[in-house]
Amino acid sequence: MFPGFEDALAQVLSPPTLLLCLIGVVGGMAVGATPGLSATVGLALLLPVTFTLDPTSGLVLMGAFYSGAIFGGSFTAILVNAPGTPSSIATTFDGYPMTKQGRSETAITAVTTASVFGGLIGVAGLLLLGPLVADVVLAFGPQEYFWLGIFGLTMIASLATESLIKGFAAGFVGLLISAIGIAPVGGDVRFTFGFTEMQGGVPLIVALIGFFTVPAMIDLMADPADRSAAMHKERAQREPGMLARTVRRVLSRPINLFRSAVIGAFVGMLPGAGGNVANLIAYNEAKRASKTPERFGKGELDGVVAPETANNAVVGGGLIPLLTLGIPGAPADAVIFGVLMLHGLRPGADLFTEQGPLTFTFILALAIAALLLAPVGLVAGRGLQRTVVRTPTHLLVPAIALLAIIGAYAVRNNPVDVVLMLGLGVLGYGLRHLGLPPPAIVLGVVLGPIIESGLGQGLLAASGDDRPWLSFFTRPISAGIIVVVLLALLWPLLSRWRARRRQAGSAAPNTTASTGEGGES
Amino acid sequence: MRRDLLCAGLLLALAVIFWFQQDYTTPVDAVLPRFVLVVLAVLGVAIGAAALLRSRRGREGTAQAAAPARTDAEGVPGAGAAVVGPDASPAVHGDGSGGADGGEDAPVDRRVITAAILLLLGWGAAFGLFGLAVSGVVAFVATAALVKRGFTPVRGLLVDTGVAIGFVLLCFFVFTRVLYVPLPVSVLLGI
Repeated sequence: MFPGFEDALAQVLSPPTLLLCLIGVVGGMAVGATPGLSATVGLALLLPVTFTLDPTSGLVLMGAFYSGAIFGGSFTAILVNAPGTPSSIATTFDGYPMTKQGRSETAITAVTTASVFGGLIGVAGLLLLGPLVADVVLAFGPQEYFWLGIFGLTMIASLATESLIKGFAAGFVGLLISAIGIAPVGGDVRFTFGFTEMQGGVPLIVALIGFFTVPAMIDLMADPADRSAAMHKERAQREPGMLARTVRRVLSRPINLFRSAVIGAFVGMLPGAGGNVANLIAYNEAKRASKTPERFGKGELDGVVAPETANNAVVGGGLIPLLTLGIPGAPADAVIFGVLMLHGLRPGADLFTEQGPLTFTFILALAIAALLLAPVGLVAGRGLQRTVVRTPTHLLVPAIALLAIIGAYAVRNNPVDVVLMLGLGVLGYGLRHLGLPPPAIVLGVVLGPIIESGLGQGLLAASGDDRPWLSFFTRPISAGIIVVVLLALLWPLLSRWRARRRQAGSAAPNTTASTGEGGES
Repeated sequence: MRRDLLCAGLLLALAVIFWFQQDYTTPVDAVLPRFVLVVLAVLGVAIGAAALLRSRRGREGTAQAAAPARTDAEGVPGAGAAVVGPDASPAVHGDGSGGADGGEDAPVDRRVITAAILLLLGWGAAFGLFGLAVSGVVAFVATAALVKRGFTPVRGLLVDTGVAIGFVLLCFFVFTRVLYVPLPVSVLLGI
């Protein structure tokens, strides 16, 4: 099949490698579940440890750690509305409402199943399609990234529950926040109001913790009885067979799983995009394809499955350009790239031929790590969930606050980031009451740098043309993405038209009632 | 309507304040921020105008409804109640969670919210000034007290303080010794 594949299979199934995978997954999960510590930070912390290991063991540990960290980010997103990593932003949209309804254990089980599936599909993509798709990735220029960011912005239509115009306003507030600091192309300093501390801009993790966690904390402080009732309900409705039932329910929606995994693997391949974009796009597409989109944002199971499938597929997808071209798909991949360089391994075709056993051991270890997410997630994840459920609100709120503060500080070891995070949180709380949804603001913060870099670099690259702007419309891949953007914008109108036609067609009162928790069209 | 007008005012204010913070040397750096500011201003005006228009229509609708309602009330009981202004009945989502104007949450004690916000901001400021341990333990206990709504028995206070000290120390050692994050320390305590 592949040169060195059999040797790699034998090595990856050896007890020491399996143990390394387990250690990596557990360690990564712990770091990923801590708001403020991203997978990249965790991998960077792990880097010195790999100096003492042989190249294969070092890469296996890094790969397993990466998988665990991406997975771990979902726990705090579901339990306390604090995405552990930016890859779990969309998981909060339905995960936290599920917790508020006393269904956090179902959510944890669902994300575990989804993560295993996504991780395996990502690895399969890396193994089978890697070298083929790598060429497509190279064809993506700044103009394509610009349109990819604009495509991401169409998700506002999904996030704006109250009013589309306010949803867009929130998205543009996010874009404005992302523009604070040094411009990515020309280096101009913008919107710092004279504070040198602001020149570095607003870090994404600080914005994430602020906009998601702080409003949730204020809500808990304002109405602790609400959580107590939900937790009581959670304990009361715990019944045997929930685990198998949830797994079956997740697997009974294969289209959602496959679509999200493909999105994750593909977006993961694009340098600079990564899990933080993939999980949002997957969520949006799951909502768009659902027969019951109105349930999204209110505790819909598919709403946690889609982002978590996608972000775990990113792990394998992101390694495709790294291993084939030497281009890291995400910041975390750049750390793994460092390990490769450290051991004198050059990415490219040679890596798969001359270093076949090592490369395939690394890839297969990612698959093993994805499989290990199941036992680790179901034991440790549900253990964490039960601990959170049992913790009294008056102790949980300050504990979350402390972790949020340390998490914001840890991004740049700067106390100003803590004040910034809390300020943004209070702003987000206020804006939410004015009808501007914080998730749309965060979407703008995530996509702003991608859009602006794409726009600036695209204009500079085409500056020799008479009309540089035209380059954004004339490139074939750009044109393809523009069509997708237009379809995404027209989709709500089309859905409304179809719904009206359906209503007109089934005017009889005895229409079949919807019974499931969503589904695929 | 008040929310929409506040929202519109805020968006316009953001656009104006940020507009005067611009000073570019590279034209390409100005493209997106200027576009964003213009869009924010336009959206602010649109939200404000729509709110004023809705309010005006609502007042007209109520005024028109008043006369027939009185007539109907004498003839067919309840018939006049069907004629209402657009603002009179907020739409309700499928889960009954509020509607088009349903961002208004259930009434909560504004004093508690204000206290919560001040406590969090104070904690954030104290973190850099007094270090993790001092600010953490004090703010932890204060937050617990706020959630419990004020006075707690001495035993409860001691338990909360014990949990606070334990959790803060655990965080301190995990972050400084395992994850090598140099957390700020109190000059007096060194922790």
